[in-house]
Amino acid sequence: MTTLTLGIEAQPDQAELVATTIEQAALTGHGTGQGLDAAGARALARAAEETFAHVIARAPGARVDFSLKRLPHAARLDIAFAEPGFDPAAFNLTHGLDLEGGELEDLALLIASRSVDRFDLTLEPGEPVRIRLEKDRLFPALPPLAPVPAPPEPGTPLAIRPGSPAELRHLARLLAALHPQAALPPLARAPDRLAEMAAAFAAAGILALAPDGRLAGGLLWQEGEGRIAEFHGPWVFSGGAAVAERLVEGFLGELARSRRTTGVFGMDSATLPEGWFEPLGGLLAGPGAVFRSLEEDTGAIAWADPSLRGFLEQAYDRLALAREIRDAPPPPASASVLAAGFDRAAGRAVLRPVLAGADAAANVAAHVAMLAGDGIARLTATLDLGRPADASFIPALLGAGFVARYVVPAALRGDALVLQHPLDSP
Amino acid sequence: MIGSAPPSLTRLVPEHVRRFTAYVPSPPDEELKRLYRIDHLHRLNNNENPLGPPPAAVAALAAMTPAQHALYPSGDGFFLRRRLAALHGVEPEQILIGNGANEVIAFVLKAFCQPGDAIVTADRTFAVYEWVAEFSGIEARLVPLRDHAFDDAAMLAAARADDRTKILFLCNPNNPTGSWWDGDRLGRFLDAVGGRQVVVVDEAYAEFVDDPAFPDAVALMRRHPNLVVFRTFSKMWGLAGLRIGYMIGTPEMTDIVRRTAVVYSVGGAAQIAALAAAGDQAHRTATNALMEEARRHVSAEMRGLGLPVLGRAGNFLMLRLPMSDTIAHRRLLAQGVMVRAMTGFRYPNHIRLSLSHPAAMEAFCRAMHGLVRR
Repeated sequence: MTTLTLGIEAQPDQAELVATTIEQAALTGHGTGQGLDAAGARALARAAEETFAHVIARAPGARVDFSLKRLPHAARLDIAFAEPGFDPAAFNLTHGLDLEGGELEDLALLIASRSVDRFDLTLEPGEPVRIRLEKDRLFPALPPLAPVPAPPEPGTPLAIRPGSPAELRHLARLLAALHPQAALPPLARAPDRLAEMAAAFAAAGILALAPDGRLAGGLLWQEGEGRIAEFHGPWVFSGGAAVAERLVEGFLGELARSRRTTGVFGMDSATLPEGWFEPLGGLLAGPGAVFRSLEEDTGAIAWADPSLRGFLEQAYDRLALAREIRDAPPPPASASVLAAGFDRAAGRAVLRPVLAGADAAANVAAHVAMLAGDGIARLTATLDLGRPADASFIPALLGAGFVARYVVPAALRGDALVLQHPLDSP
Repeated sequence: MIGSAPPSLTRLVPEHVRRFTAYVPSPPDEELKRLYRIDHLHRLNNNENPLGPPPAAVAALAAMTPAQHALYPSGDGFFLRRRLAALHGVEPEQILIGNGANEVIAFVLKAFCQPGDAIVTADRTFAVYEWVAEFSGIEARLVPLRDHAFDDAAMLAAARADDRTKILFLCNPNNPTGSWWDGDRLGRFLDAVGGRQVVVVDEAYAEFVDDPAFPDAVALMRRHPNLVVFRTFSKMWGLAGLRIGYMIGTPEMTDIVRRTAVVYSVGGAAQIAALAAAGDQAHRTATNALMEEARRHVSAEMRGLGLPVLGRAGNFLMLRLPMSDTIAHRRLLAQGVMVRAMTGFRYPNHIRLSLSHPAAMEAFCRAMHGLVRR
């Protein structure tokens, strides 16, 4: 069994049952022995308990569905409940937070988000509230390969093919021997974690292999739940640009007909072959982002605000994308809702609009103020330009100091606009 | 009010369908022209026949009355099957028509495969064999092309890996490389398969090959009852908009496939036009002359730009670019020329061009000059 489900009424006397059940399942990995460490399991249970307490307070008696899934690298807890009469504004993480007066009320969701490595809240109009909590498994550190094996000699015939989990583990150990950890993407930092993710098809890699198994290069990627796969590399140990190009070609071939992924996204590097990717721009103090569509893009509508029309027109012109830019309608008079996703380990948070509202400026400002003091080093916002409601947040985000950085074509329902807040700037 | 989260529809969807997202075809020309702010569009992405249907088919369509459209068509293409049988030298019961050859692909897969089975085809060929298999829970084993052509030895090895393989799909000539096996090679391949699997030979582009070495599939079928041949009216016969194709098999083979066929899926206009078009040799000669001239002209122009050209058969050719094909596709579209970006065929940085009238070829060459010199 890899998923535990629990449907339960939001009542105070059920809270302990929720916490105990989730802690035990997370700790034992659903009985597989591949669970979280004790502290991690307790933290996940605490997050579940806090979220449940939030629902008890806001929608007593509502049915809450818990689904705990064992992932190769983490435990994922999905919580869903529907309460049609409920005020969605309560799902802003800042709800009840009086920043000026220092009052802390009803911060269960904020506490929950702090207990886990990744936290995500989504709320679509008419849909159940969905909260996702993830806590990473701990993997023992593996020593880098020593001595570092010599790469294949120039001219050695190479096979370009997907790597097995064991081969990807070997690649990660080789990378650890050649690069400082900070220079590697998180996916490549823990060899056992990478191997387990590959075994569960949560990550993949393509390798350039000599007949004796020596590595001439490799490239890793993860397919998320959206339409874009994020790649890392290529790393080339011998063979230079020709091997890099073959790795990229093999990678694209693996995804080209998947009918899951419509584009690939990564960071620019010296090993990326010329002419294969489109530069998008980048975050402050970060490498440039690159993109490649796997499908023909024959045009779309992009909802925006007049204040960003110039930025978007330039971006679309550079990418040769046919977009009809339309001004978003004004938001309704009701309260706005923002969802926040956290990657605590990386110190990153991303804000996403859920519901447009007249108080967007105050809401965004409150989130920025809260996150600035919450250990977040990189704060971005992602807007789906295929949704008019998202675009109505643009003035609020710009007003709070966010700067539009780049557009990822067709990443969501429409293009994704990435904005960044310079948290660390004066 | 107390509510519970409605269960997600996703739980009802089989895993092999969950993995897919829906295919989004390109918008109609008028919408593309509006989005790209262009006043003309040469659609060179779908390998249609620029001459359209043969004159007899045009006349037959024009002669149709509204009353005919109010009636269901022949459920199994009664007259058309007789005409096709006469052309191919087989019996009418050996012909099965479908709403485009794509539908016939699905018929054959449904007739012979169940979830857990496998098919074997090439990694860089027409996508529909692979897609229909995968979203039916059937594994598609993909064999790399060798020198841009189907690799018979590798296909046989893939088929022999276990006893799960039911069908081998061969696209002959291959879309998009234009390579093809001659009759001897196909015969040796069928000998090696030895009747253990069904062999489907998709001859969508067969009418564009005049070489006598091209296989006589019907003759081979007499020795190899596991052989199935697909043909289409969408390419040479200019009826892509009417969606009609067919398969030829032995009587036993066709009877088996017919069990999974949806009758009445081919409209009356399609049947009438196909009946008039089938076997029009003058139309075939004129089309092939146009293709030959376009191929010669564009190949020379592209080689002049330093771009490798692939493709010796079919009404298309393929080019290797020094850039991403998906961005080239967009930049060419902005110049009023729509080609096929080939990443989806596992040919990244390649585009496929449908051969057409001189004006369209000139427009393409002009746009390519601008693109490459950019």
